[in-house]
Amino acid sequence: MLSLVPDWAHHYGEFWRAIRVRNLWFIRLRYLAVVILIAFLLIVNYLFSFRLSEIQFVAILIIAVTILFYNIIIHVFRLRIGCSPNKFNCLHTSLIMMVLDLMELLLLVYFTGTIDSPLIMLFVFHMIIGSMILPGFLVYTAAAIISISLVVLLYLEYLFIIPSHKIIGTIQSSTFLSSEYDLIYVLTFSFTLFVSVYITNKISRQLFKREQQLRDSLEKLKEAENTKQRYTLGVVHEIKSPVIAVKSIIDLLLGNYVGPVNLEITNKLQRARLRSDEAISLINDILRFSRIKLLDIKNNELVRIEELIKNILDVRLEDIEEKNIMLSFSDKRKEKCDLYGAPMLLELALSNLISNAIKYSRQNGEIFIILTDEKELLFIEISDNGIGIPEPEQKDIFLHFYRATNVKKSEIEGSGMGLSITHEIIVKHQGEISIISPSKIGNADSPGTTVIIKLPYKKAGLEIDTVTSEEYS
Amino acid sequence: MALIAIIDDDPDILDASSLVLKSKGYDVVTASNPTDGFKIIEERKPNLIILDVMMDEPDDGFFLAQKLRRENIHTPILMYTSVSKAIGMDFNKSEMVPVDDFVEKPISPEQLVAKVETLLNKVGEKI
Repeated sequence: MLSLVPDWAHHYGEFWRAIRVRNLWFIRLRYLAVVILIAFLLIVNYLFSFRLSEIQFVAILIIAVTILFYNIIIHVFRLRIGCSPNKFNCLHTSLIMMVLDLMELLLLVYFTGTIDSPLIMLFVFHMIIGSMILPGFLVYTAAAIISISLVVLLYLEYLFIIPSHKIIGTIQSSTFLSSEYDLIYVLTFSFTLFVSVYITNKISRQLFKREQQLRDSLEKLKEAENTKQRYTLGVVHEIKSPVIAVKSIIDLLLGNYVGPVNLEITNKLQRARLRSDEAISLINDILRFSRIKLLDIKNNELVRIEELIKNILDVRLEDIEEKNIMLSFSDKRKEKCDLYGAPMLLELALSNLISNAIKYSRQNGEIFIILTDEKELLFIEISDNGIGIPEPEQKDIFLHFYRATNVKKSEIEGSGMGLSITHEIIVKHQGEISIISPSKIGNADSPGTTVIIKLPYKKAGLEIDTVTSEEYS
Repeated sequence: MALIAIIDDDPDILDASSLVLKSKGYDVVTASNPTDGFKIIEERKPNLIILDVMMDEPDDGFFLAQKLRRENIHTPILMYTSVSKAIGMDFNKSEMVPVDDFVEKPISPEQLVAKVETLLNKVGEKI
């Protein structure tokens, strides 16, 4: 199989997607061309001063019908053609389309006057498009074939081996011009063709190269980020060991394992235990965050989101009852498509949000959790009427260690890592998270917070084989 | 009374764990690296092994656990981890890691005693 694929594109989904989108675009353009051709045939005799001969009329009609015919075939089979570099792929479709189009255009040009045909300029257009998609050698070959075909056609016409089909009423004088003029015309035209191919090819190759450089830089950045996260993991782990040892020793003392401890020392030791617990929970949060950063969510599992939320609520039931919170969980999804992702991470993210909602709710507060969906997107909305987040601080809420000022004033403990972990998890799932405060159920006293998570319903095997409806346009 | 082997490279953890377990009447032997750990297990044949997952190398504990099982030593193992749960990397009792239970550090004295008792009871039932 003739490989038309540049090396860098073998596993590059964007490349294939671009080719597929362009192919579809050309298929649509071809329908338009057919319509224009037939419309031209229908009105030419009424609108213009020139006439088409019967042969020309029939020839153009046949050409239009042929184009329509193969375009429909390509259109139908388009989706069955994959993107595997080693098999027949959509790039081969592009090549077939180009060859067919060139043949039709050559015939069209011949039947409308060869070098006198106004359609001859379409060759340049055609070559520019071809250069953008196909490898250089193919397009140069095509340009050479066009030039040679034109010369051959002209030569055959001069020798009266084939009839010439000048449009009667146009460029009358050209028949009287010398063959040298035609030769210069064809040479200039071929030159234009080759220069267009050269320039387009060069520019698109530069663009591809630039794209590759960008991808390489991105890869390096990612690698640097991973190194950083691994370093953080290592360092924080090293810090964790002594803190754990300290905590174990305090536990020993408080448990009277070493000997009796008086009340005053017990109080201080309890403080020390509390502080070391704080340190450990912060360390765990940082470890979690770094680990999520390093995690590659490849094994997409089916996530049962409603079960997942119910589980979290079950675990938190005690806290909810303790604060006498009115909880409502409603599943208003219509599409209910399958959601794929890492269930454990999504559980952590949602559990963070739900526990925040509980933590920052007042006694007898309300929490609403609503699931909805729309256009392949799942929305999870968690609203409370707790203390809310001051407006100017809402943009910082996903930063590491950030704690809103009203939270700091409160007695509620926290490391400020929870929301950055949640954010990271949602981003890893190609989702978005946003925060609104005052919430939908808040009031002046308790503004509350609404968190909205948007997650794409991903269909398995989406990657490069499908182009979404948005990409068609 | 049951003999418990504790293998951890942190002297304070070794100290704390042995103190707690000794106070409950258990006999305790300790080692601070996998090599010594393997030696004391072979020599003393403890009823339970408490093993830290990370010693000099991040997977030392796992390798020792696997080695023990290969050598046909089926003493129950309680593994100390400092890897937090709730993340994809949390460990489950799987074929790959032949241990009987995991506990995330730090562990309170009460938790430690409870875990040890449960594991020892399980062994008792089997016999």
